[in-house]
Amino acid sequence: MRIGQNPAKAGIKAPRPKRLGIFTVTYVPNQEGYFTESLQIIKIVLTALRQHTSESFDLCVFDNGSCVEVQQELIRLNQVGVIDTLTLSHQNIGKMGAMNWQIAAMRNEWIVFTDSDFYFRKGWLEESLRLAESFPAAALITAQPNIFDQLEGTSQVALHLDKFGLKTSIEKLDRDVIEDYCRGIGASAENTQKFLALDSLIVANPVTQVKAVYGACTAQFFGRREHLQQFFPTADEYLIAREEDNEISRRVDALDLLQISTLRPFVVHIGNHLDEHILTEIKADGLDTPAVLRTNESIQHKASSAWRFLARLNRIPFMRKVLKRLYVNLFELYSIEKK
Amino acid sequence: MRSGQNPAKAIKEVVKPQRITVAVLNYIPFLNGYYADMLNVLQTSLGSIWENSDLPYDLLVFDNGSCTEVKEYLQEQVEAGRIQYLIFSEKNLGKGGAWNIIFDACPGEILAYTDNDCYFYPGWLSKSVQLLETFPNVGMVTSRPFPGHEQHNTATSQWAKNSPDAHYYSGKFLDWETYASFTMSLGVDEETTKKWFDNNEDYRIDYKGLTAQIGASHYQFLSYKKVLQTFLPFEMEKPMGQVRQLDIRMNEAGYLRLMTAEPLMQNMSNQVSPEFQKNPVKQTVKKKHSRIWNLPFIKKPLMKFYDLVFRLYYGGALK
Repeated sequence: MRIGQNPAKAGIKAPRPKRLGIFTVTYVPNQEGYFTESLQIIKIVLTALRQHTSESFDLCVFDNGSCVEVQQELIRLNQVGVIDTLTLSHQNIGKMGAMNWQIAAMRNEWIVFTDSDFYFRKGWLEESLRLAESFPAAALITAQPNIFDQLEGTSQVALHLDKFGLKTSIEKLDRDVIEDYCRGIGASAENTQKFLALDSLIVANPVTQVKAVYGACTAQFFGRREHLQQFFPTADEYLIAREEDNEISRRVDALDLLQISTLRPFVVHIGNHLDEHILTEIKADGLDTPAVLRTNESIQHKASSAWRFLARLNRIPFMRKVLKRLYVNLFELYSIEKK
Repeated sequence: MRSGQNPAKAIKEVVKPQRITVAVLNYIPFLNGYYADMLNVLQTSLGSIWENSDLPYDLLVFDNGSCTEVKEYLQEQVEAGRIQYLIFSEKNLGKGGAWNIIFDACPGEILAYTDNDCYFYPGWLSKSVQLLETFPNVGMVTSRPFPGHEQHNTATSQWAKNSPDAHYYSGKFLDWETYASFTMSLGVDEETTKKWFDNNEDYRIDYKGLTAQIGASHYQFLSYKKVLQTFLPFEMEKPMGQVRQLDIRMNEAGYLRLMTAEPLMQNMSNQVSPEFQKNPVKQTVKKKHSRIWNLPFIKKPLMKFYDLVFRLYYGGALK
């Protein structure tokens, strides 16, 4: 039975959602192979968000079934106030499942999504808001010029941008902008040349003179909650699939809403490896630079007899297939089946 | 930069949520004073859900800023697979703030909501769902009968009186033990409870072979997610004390508010009574680590192999 009075009923005020809510989805099922540096990268992403966002915001993390060590670190970050709301899922419900969950749950006027491997630079919020004011029909605003066309040339909105009162032009983005993007995605020299040769569709508000690149990226976007709720929830059949990402872009287009991005990169893709460029930038920004000692580790691996044996096996096409299958099976065993 | 291929992209399907989400709202800021026995209460409550829920469900726990000991316990349950979804809020968002998140985010079609101090008896879930799905236009089903506020039940009474398929009747149906066990669990003394009991009248409905008592409580109820979403957002300035909004709004919107005729849950408040202390269901479960592939001498070399294969194919950036 109840003894005494619950002190929480004493009239203490509950915090309200802030104007801006940012969320990311994490998934680090183990700390080997592809995921070796993932926890470190997540911490850098969260630190940069806290340091480079010019107004107070709610930071939500949806962890999609990471290993215990990662979940414990996220809990610690929640306890020290870096993460405001942390959701731990026992099983991976898919990237879209997690996005559907978070967008439904967040009550902020502006919602930002980012993959957990994007580095946010100073000014990203100001520039995103500047575009939002000049392009009120923009449902998705990415803080990095859109170079990869998720609509694959099928945008219907792009055919009648004059309806929105916008001026359009075809322009080349600055070389350093393209190179920054290519470095982030680990593009080959050949693909980098292809991207450098591309033209971009630029939209401009003739009143404010503000310009944006037409197209946004669903790996990082900023939008009004009322807009996002028009195209979320969306299909969530896979753990992670480009097709499901592209479906978001298609839905925005079908709703006759704009998707745009900044002319300069205010975010950059880190990926699963902290390369020299990003480490230099992190250091220049005054953030803690993680010690990355992979070079020595890699050399040790290559000197081992196990490595040499595997490398020999890999020369046989059949064994190459077997090894790849084992790689996925072991991932399933220790990352999916463990649950 | 990206190095290699994310192995998650090779997995072709994800787990689908159960139709029912059981959601528990928890807040234990410290383990002293009013909250001294609350971790024990929480463990007993969750234990009764695990033991006595007789339909498939996902368990969602919303922790509204509890202390470290409680968070550690909850995280262990996620790891053991006993909690499917766990939400940690760094600050107490209040019950309204938590409801805003739970009601919108819960993956199930049916939400079985409870405060963290309910003990559930066997069959509570199926019998509550049966009422929810059999009666028309149901807003809330609470899993025990208790005296409520008639002014929050006018829509239900009106429907019962006007519906030719429903039989509406009143009388003294709750026995002393059922009545007193719940009322006194709220801290009401025996003398007052006796007075209330003597003046109490219960209102019931028979419909399609089922009997329901009229009334429901915001503290434990089942509802359809789509119904709950129509009442969002809840604007509550205080962490607690404004929760009757849900009862009032449900009634005003014309939804039925029902309770099971038999007691299928009990309020523990902030102490575990001897009746529940004897129950073994809160004991720690055996984790899945006993599976052969989780034995350290098997797992370690396999993970080493996994890492080597990754580096073999995708190790470019690690050179």
